[in-house]
Parts: sequence; C-alpha cells; structure tokens
Amino acid sequence: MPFVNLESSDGDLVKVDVDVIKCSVTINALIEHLGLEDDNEVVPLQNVGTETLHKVLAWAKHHKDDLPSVDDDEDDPPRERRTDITTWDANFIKMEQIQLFDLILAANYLDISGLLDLGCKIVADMIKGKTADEIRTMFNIVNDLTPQEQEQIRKENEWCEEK
Amino acid sequence: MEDHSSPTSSGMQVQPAPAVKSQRRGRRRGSTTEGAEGEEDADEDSSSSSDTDTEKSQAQLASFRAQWEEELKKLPAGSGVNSNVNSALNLVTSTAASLANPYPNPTSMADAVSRRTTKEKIKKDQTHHPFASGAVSGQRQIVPESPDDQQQPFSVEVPTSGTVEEQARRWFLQGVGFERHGDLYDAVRCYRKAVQLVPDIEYRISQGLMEESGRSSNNESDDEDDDDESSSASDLADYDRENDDKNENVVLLKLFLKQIEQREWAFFQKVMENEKAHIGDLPVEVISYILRWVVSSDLDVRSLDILSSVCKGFYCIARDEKLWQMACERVWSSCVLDSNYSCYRDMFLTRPRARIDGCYISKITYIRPGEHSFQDQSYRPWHFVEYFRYIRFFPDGTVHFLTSSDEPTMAIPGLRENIARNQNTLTGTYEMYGSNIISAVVTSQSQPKIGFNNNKMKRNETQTQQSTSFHIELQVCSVKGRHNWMLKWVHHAVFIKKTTITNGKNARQQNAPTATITSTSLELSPTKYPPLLFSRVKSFTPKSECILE
Repeated sequence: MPFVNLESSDGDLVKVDVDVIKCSVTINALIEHLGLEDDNEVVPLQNVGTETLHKVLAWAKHHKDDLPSVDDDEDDPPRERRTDITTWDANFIKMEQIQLFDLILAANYLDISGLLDLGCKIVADMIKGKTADEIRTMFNIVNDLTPQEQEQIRKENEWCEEK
Repeated sequence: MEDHSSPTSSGMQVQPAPAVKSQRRGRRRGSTTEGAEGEEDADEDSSSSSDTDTEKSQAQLASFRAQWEEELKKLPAGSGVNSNVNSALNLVTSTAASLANPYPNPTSMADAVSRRTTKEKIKKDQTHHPFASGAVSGQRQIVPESPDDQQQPFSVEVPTSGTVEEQARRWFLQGVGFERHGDLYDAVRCYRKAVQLVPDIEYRISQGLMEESGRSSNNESDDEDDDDESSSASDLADYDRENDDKNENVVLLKLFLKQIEQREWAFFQKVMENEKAHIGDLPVEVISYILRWVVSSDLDVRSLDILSSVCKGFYCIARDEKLWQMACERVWSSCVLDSNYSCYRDMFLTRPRARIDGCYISKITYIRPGEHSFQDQSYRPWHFVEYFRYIRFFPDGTVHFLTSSDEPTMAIPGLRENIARNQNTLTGTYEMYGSNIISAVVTSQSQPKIGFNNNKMKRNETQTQQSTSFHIELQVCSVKGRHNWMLKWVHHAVFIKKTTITNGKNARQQNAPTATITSTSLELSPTKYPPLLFSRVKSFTPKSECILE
C-alpha cells in the first residue's frame, strides 16, 4: 500500500496510508494529478497543526471504509449526508472549541466533506436555541452593533419575540 | 518605479526577477499577441480543478475591485505617481463608475469575498508545494496588452531588478491591464503575485495614485461619504438618503459590509485577544455552511435571525439571500421572487404557509347534560367537556392530527417526531393549495373486523375493513401582524370506505369484495371548529438533523 508523508505546520512528519487519506479531496487530487514518484515525497500542510492532523487522521482511519470514493470531477457526486452521529463520532468530536475550529479549518482545507459536516453540525447545535448574548459569550465575539443598529435589527427580527 | 514610467513597445520579452516566494512558479514572459489570449497552458492553477472556473475568477476580481475602490475612496493624498499608474487609475475609476452602487447584490459580494479568501489561502499553500512546482510549465505566455490600447496602463516590462515593492507594483499593474482586456484569469494571477510580494500593495499603489490625481478623480468615481470617522449613525442616515430602496434590510446589509470591509474583512472581532482559534478564523463560506446546518431541514430560521443580532459579521452572513432562497424552496417547490416580496427573507416570513416550528392548537368546549343519579332525583349534573385539536406540520409534507383531551403540555411531546406516538394520531400529507389554503388528507385505517351476519340461518362470515379519510382545508391567516398564526376551517369532509368481504359456508358463495364510500361534509360551526392558533415549540427544533439543501 502506498504511503504519503504529510508535514504539519509544526514541522512534524506523519506517514499516512494513501487509502486512509483518500477522503481528502485536496490530497487525493494532488496524488492523482501529480503521481507519487517515491514514498519519500512530503506534502506540507501549512494550515494543519500536528495535533489537528492526528485527529483528522484518526477520523479518516475510522471512516476509511464507509466513505464513497471521491471523484475530483467538477460535477461532484451527491454527498453523503449523515443525519445520525455514530457513538464513535460523538466521542470523537468531544473537544474544546478551539480544537473544534482547528478541525473544521483542516477539514475545509483538506476538503473532507464528512468531517466538515460533522464539525459544522456540532457548531450549529451549539448555536441553536441560544440567545444573542449567549452566542457572543460562547464564541468570544465583540458586539460591534450600535444601539441604533441593534434597535433596527430588533425591529426586523420582531417575529422572533413571538411566543 | 521610474524605470516603469514610459510605455514599452509591444512584444518585448522581459523576465521578472522572481521573488523568494514566486521562485517555484517558473518564469513568466511577456508578449503581446492577441491570439495568445485563449492560450491556457498548464500552470500551477491546474492543480486545483475548480480554478478553471471563470465565474470564480470573476468573483475574485469583483472583490478585488471593490476593495481597491474602497481604498481609493478613503485615502488622503499620498505620494509619487507616474503616468502609467495614473492611467491605471482611470481604469479603476471607470470600473468604479460602473459600480456606482458598490454592492448591487450585497450577498453575492459576501460570497465573492469568501471565495477569495479561501481560494487564496489554498493558492498560497500550493505555491510552496513541491508537487505543484512540478506542474508549472517552465515558460508561460501571457497577454499583457493589446495594440489598440492608447494609454497602455501596464507594461510588459517586468523588472529583473528593483525592490520587492516595485516588482509587486508591476505585477499589480499588469493585472490591471489584463483585467481591462477581460482576461480575468491572468489578471487574478498577477494580482495574487503582487499581493504575495507585498500584501498591502493595493494600498500603496492607491496612495501613490491619490497624489497625482488628487481628490477630483476621487469625487468623480463616487459621491459617497468620504469621511471615515463619521459615526455609523450618520452613515446609516447617508445610506438612507442615498438609497431609494425602502428596504431597510438591504440598507443595513450594505452598511455593515462596508464597515466590515474597512476593517479588512474581519467579520468577527475578538473580545479578548489571544492566540487561540476564533470563529473569525473560519472562512466566511464555512460559517455560511454552518448556518445551513443551523437552519437545517427543520427550517429553524429563528436561530438564524437571532444570529443576525449577534454582530455585524453574523448579520451579513445570516441575511444571505441564498440561505433564505433555499428555505423558500423547501416550503414552496416553485418559488419566484415576485414584486410582492422585497427579498427571499421577506417572502419566507410573510407568505402564507404552514409553520413547522410548532403546533397549531384549538380548544373545543361544550356542555353535556349528565344522568340523574338514583339517590337524588333533584340533582342534575352537567358535564363540562373540553378537548383539543392539534395539527403539527412537518417539513417533509407530512401532517399529524391529534384530537385529545390531553392538555398541550401532555400532548405536544408526542408530536415532536415524525412517528405517531399516540395511537389516536392520524397521519397524512399536506400541501399548499391556492395562495393561502392548506389542503390535507389524513386517513385512519381500522383493523379488519370479523363479524357474523345477524341472520343466523345464513351464517355468513363477513370481514369488514373500514378506512376513514379526512379531507381538510384550512385557510392560513395572520393575527396582529403575526404571520401564519391562525388556521381557519374552510372545508372538512369525511370519506368512509368500507370494504366488505363475505364468506359463505360454501366456497361457491364467496362474493367479490364490495366497497362502499360514503362521504360527509361536516358543518363547520364556529363552536365545534374554532380556528387553530399557532404556538411555537422549542423542542421541535433542538438539534440539527440534516443540512438545508
């Protein structure tokens, strides 16, 4: 089985089975387009830290058999939408917000739709049912709206206050 | 930049001095053949399959243009300019003029930005990619100008020496030239190289431009408020004055986009500065994707609107027309934005539909005379009977009807899922009919009953199957400005279909099944059929199950 060496942004090298990382459209495209001439080829991943890379690989390894082979065609095949989170996934995604964002960034960068969906769904569930203030606190966001703007948005969103 | 001041003759081939970062890209040669325009040789871009999409490069350009234009507007007079640069400004101002309204479609603007940011991120990484370098063709023909170009705003002269900034400047101006010729693809590449060398090259160039052209051209390019320091309240007033558009939504969106642009597209600001990853580190497209999960197939647009009140960044992303259009398409399979609605959000919120984030409830009460008791003939009881009708609509077109004496607190949990928990729940389907009528059909199938014919002489065994279907039409009404808040009964008919199979003693006597359908239109008296009122149920949209598509 061919291997590919991934280099994290921290400079660490990780040897990965091509079969495992095939879920990444980005890396898959690189391998298909350019070919792996020798096993010592190193793919630097500038946006992915070592810790995150290991998480991504753990996920990829667990899901390597259940993902459909990804085409890099323009007309991408209908994506597999997992509506239920498996127990494994639920345990896997239990992490700090910071790690979660890093993971989403990595999944987006590497174009791993399954992992991106999982991460986005978790963030969406964090958002749902919260008030604006709670969301600001949760994500460490400055309220950059002036009182007038807040008032106008409140008017626009008046229907939300219905009980 | 002095060596750059005079237009060079076309056809001149010059090699750029590759900067540290662009060394892998191979060399670039300038030439001026019109025919070469279509020439798209394999270059580093080919490693990304989606990059050949001209639409994307146009979107990238749009954001570039808008950004630069913004810089021009807000910058005071700078220093140093030459004629080439000046003519480049003319180009920009002409494009700016075509964009008198900087964001004709605000949401597509945000879209463009998001594309740009991520695309560039990936691009930059590929620049350093060892594989990518393998794909770069050593030589590349580019089309920097056309002969009929009078001003020659850019030159084929790409420096072999000079400071990094000068090289960047030239790349940038070359990009301007490409853009002018509609060669967006090459233009983006030049811009990118320029930005890689000097990230704020746009700023520096425009600073130079301002000195030469002065504020007059600035005024020509637009008549917007140049004063950056003005409070957002006065900004808002300006926009109100400038825009005939009465839609406040759009006004606020434009304003926020402008402000976000001014802080270099930082959609979110951190409360505490730290090194840790922040939601603002996610590309806008990813956040937009997260919002699609927030809305989900349950169409939880309430969460979306709450997000819009968090900060300017979320406001812009949550008001994205695309999101609302997707939501509209979920509800009305064919929906065209007509003049009745200012935007898809308006349409979603005000157009009659069955609300799915809660339950419609009506309470029916009546008084029934009771029986005399044996002991006390003088006491005559009356029963006060109270029961509820619940109608719960689901996004996938199914509907649950429940008639129960249970109070809402007891009954509603059973309606949460699309599986009838309560055996009294009738399930069926619904659809919009006409402009504001919901038409629903629910059926209840009774278990086959086996009975014996009363006529003992014949001793026929009958098997009766009865299915009752209710055809219901409800009119969607608004109550006190609350849209789709009430359902009025318009029509209610019961169809009872009885299928009887009679089995005689002898096999010969077996008859074909007979079906009888009786239909009854029910009288819709206001006391028996009071309108149903909506109440939102939080627990109906607790988790994101499925992405909005």
